[in-house]
Amino acid sequence: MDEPLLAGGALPLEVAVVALPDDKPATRRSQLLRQKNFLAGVVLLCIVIIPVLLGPVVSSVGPDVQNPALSFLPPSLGHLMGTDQYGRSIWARVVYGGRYTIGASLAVVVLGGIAGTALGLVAGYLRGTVGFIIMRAVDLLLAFPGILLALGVTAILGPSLVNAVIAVAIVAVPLYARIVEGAAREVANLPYVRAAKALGSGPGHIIWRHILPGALPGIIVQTTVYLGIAALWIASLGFLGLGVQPPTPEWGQMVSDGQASLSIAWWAVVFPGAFLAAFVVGVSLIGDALRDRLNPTGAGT
Amino acid sequence: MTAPAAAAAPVLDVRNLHTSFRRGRGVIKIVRGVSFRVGRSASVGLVGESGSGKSLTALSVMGLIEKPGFIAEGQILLNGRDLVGMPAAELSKIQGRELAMVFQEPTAALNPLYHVGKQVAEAIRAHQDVSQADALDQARKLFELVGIADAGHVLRQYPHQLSGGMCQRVTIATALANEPGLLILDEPTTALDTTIQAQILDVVGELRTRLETAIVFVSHDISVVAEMCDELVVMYGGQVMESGRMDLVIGSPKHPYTQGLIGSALSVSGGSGRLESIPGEVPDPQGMPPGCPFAPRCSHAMPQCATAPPLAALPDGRTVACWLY
Repeated sequence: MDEPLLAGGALPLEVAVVALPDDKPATRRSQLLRQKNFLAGVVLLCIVIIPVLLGPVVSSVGPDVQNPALSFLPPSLGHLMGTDQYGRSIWARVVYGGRYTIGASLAVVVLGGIAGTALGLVAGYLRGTVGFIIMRAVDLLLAFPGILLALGVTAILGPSLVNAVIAVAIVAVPLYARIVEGAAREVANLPYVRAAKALGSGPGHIIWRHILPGALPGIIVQTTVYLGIAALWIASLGFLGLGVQPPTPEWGQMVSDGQASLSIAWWAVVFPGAFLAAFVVGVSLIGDALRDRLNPTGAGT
Repeated sequence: MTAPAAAAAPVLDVRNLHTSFRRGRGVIKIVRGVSFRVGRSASVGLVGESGSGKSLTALSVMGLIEKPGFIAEGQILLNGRDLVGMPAAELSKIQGRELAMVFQEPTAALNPLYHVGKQVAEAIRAHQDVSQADALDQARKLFELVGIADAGHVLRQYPHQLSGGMCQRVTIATALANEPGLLILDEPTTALDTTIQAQILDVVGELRTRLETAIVFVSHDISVVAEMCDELVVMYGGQVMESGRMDLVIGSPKHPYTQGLIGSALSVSGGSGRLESIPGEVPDPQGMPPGCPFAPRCSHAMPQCATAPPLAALPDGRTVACWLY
């Protein structure tokens, strides 16, 4: 009576043992790869952000100090990244300029993130007419290519860093709203939200305490992904002269400044460009790793 | 008995409730004219198979019907005030304070992101102006009330750290946080193991004797309800088939459906002999027969059943919707 039971019990165990070594290294390898990507992102970001944060500590000269006698010097020990046509230190300008590019991108994700999240939460939880109107407005904004929308807004508001931030933040609003709305809709159907409603919690309370925390993973991933894009677009607007105005340094605007003399002084373009690229790539790598971590069911890139 | 007192001032008086769902252009009627009363400190069992509309009746009373669902007709009088059509802001002042609900899936009814103590405190502070510390202190007392041994420790646990039975004790404590006059339990033990089920029923039974709370116990299991409640409402096809005092209905069920339900339950029918099953299955709400919904499965069906039988009041105080009476 017992024996066939035992044999039957042993069989699936064997299958499991055989299946394990086949299965595990693959997931472990992808996990390691993910970790490597994440680490690479962190390293890149540190390389970029530490000098930017230290500013005056790592650069003895100010970003606006001109010295015509020192114009177009190639990189050397005295001038780490060389100088531009006015003899300003590129190193100093890259280090100080990062504050504008990175600061502006952070402002973009904070402003756009808060506005988009609020709209998405309300639309996803209340649905109905209010939700419909919000989401159709979001669709309308999404119908424009992002950079075109940003260009249009800065063209209307006039060129300045603040307006560039507003423009890129407006592009971010529908992206956040769409992601948060979906998450809010999902969380709103969970039994604990219904239980909270049955206890007499109002919609504001439920959105803040239950829906927002449920939507948070999506918001975090969206923020890391969009931070890189925002930096790129802030720089693009700077490059086109719609963002920061000279002589204030900003990476995109520095690339634009240096391109006229690219043939004799490559360093004036390459170094700010490289810092921008490192920041964008670093943020994206971290964003991808976070997305895999926080949203394991979602499809990869 | 308590019948005259209950009739005088019921906590809950559901009158001719119709709850429907919109689908496409059509409307699917799920609850079709349900009426029952719950007296002060009374306990009423709402029994029926899946699809009988019992859970939806409970959700209607709780004010939790959401689009595309809606209450098409009827009144839900809680302490004399009609909850149907009440503005959401006003309703939320009543929800949790005058009536509360315990749900079927205890683990899912708790937010996985917060300590359970915090969630009970949240329920308290939704209706009472007390500090977080006082609310947590009250929560600890509530935990002790529902028989949680290490209340202070459990307060700081997340739902996933607790067993299903423990989570259900927590949700019961949450529901009792503001001492509601009416507690609705929607299949509170269905998702639990049999032994845990017995413990939870003990908790509810003991609370009934200690608190003044009236109870509506929704279940598909007539034996559980027979143990817990003084009165019984048997639902089928979105309508009340039979209602009345538990001992009378269990002792001599009148409606053929009630007879079938009792015959198919082990402990109520005595435990010896063969269990009977009711042939056929619950009709689809869209294909509900005209007249008595149970007629297609009923062994006593007659031509008359094609028209809906009225709820007939029997001399012993119960009501039956069947042409036999």
